[in-house]
Amino acid sequence: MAILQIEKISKQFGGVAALKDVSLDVEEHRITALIGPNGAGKTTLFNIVAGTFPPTAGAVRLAGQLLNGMQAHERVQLGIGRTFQNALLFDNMTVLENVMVGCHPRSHTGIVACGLRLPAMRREEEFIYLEAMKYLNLVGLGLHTDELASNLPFGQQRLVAIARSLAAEPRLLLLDEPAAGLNALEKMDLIDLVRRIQEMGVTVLLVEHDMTLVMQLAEWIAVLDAGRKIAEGTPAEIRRNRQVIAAYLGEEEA
Amino acid sequence: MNIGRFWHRAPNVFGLILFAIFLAITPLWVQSNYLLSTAIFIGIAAILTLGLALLMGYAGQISLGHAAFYAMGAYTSAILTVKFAYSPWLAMALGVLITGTLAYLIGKVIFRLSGHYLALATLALGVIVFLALGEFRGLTGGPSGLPGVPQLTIGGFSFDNDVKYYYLVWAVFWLLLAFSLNVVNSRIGRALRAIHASEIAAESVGVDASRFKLRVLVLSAVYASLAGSLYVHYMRFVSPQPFDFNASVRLVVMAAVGGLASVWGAPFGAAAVILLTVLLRDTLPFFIKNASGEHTVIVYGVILVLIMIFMPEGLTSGLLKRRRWPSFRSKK
Ligand SMILES: Nc1ncnc2c1ncn2[C@@H]1O[C@H](COP(=O)(O)OP(=O)(O)O)[C@@H](O)[C@H]1O
Ligand SMILES: [Mg+2]
Repeated sequence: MAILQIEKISKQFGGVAALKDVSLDVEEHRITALIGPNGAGKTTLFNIVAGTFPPTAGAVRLAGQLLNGMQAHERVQLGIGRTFQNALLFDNMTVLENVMVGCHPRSHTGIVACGLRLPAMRREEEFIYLEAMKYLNLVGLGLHTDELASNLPFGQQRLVAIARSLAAEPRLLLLDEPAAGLNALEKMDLIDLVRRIQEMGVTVLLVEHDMTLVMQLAEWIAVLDAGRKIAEGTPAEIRRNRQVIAAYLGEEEA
Repeated sequence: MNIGRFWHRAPNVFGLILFAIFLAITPLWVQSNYLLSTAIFIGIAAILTLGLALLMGYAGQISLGHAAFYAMGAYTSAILTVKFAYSPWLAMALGVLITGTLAYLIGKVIFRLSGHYLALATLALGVIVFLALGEFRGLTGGPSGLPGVPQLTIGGFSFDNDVKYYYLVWAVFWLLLAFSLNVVNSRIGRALRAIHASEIAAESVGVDASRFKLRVLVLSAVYASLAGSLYVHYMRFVSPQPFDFNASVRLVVMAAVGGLASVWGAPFGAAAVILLTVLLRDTLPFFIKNASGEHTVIVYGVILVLIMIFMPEGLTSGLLKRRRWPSFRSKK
């Protein structure tokens, strides 16, 4: 069953057509990769799925439910999590606090209960803290809780971002170039992490440039080029696809 | 197991205890009535500044008409007690309700739009409220004001001198400070700081940014309303003059001087600006003939610019850093 259905999405930025009639089904529990040269429209597609901005045309459904018109924070409640190409952590907060904010949709204490530190609030704080620690440990940053997020190396900032979105317990997680700037060892860890996220029952859709990593990790690959989907299939199929080789690998050599 | 988390809050807890002791003993050595009355005005201003600092520092929004919310509290208390013989405490509560509702309605409309429309909307509100106070003479007494506001009493106890009123005002401030610190160190404070750092990232983890900005706006309006009620029951009189545009500007300066990185800045910002106002009132006429309120506003403007340039985090940021004490947990 497709957990995410992207139906004939187009997006115009002024005169620029960033996406043209893109459709894609993301199967539940399967790791799907979205690849394509720079400027192909991958991040734009993520933004449309996450609700950062609306598409010019087309529809997005999560488990059958139409998402058009819903704001980004409402989509989080429905189970869409995402990370950003540039991590976009809360720089003024510690690593732990960043992930605690991720628990936001699963906590409810209001402003009066918080101001008075009512018992219900304290219990929930404890819950938020434990959950945040759980996800920080999952990404291997359990010992960096009190560092200012902006002081971490970039690769680790991305991991914090992953922990932060996991803390909301999404059904679908969108990862935008999680391996950029990682060394070979860190990439191995990332592959391991994404597999564990999959085992937790989360469907992962990732944008990635590192083809070796994509080929190892992805069970399904969709290829965007200049705003159009030019192919999709298993890694083996994509590797053989002429159009993909021309569009994508051609760029790598250039 | 939670020692580390306790230490996160410890500076605030100790700070609140020390601050309470300082506030309690101040009247023992401040003998001058003039100084004590100044301390009362600082306390009232500190309540206003506290709300504005939350709004500016945590919701990243600016109110250029905060004196309007202050006036709403003041006039609700004055009108209901003088004209309709309400109990002062009930009038104060109704002031909070009316002012909070007004702020809610304004925010509901404004925060749907992105950008700094709140500044414009509150600016307009400030002007409208100020004009209305002068116009509706039947209710407000017009420019000459409304005398005869009763004293605050609890049971048989009456806040009838400056020492008692000093303790009342600063107790209210202290409680609101503790409340604010608790809010700041909760999921709501974290959500607000997240919005401030990156609204897109905050929305991506499910934080409804406009809803939280709205809550802080209402909270700051409620603080302002309480300050207004405390003000009229101290003065026993109300007129439009303390709620003009100058007053709104002065409040923004207080918040900026105190620093927006921490709500602890509020009393310092309020004290600094009020003491400076006293100083200007006494010295400005020596430099500028016929010095008026407008000249004072220019001085505030200059101070604001200097602070933005040299101390963007405010006067108190050096004293009270927001960076946490190292916790035991991370040090192993
Ligand atoms: N917010 C925006 N405003 C205007 N143009 C944009 C915006 N976001 C993306 N674009 C344009 O859309 C195209 C696709 O960009 P993007 O989705 O970031 O590509 P990718 O992530 O595949 O590298 C590019 O031409 C880019 O300049
Ligand atoms: Mg991109």
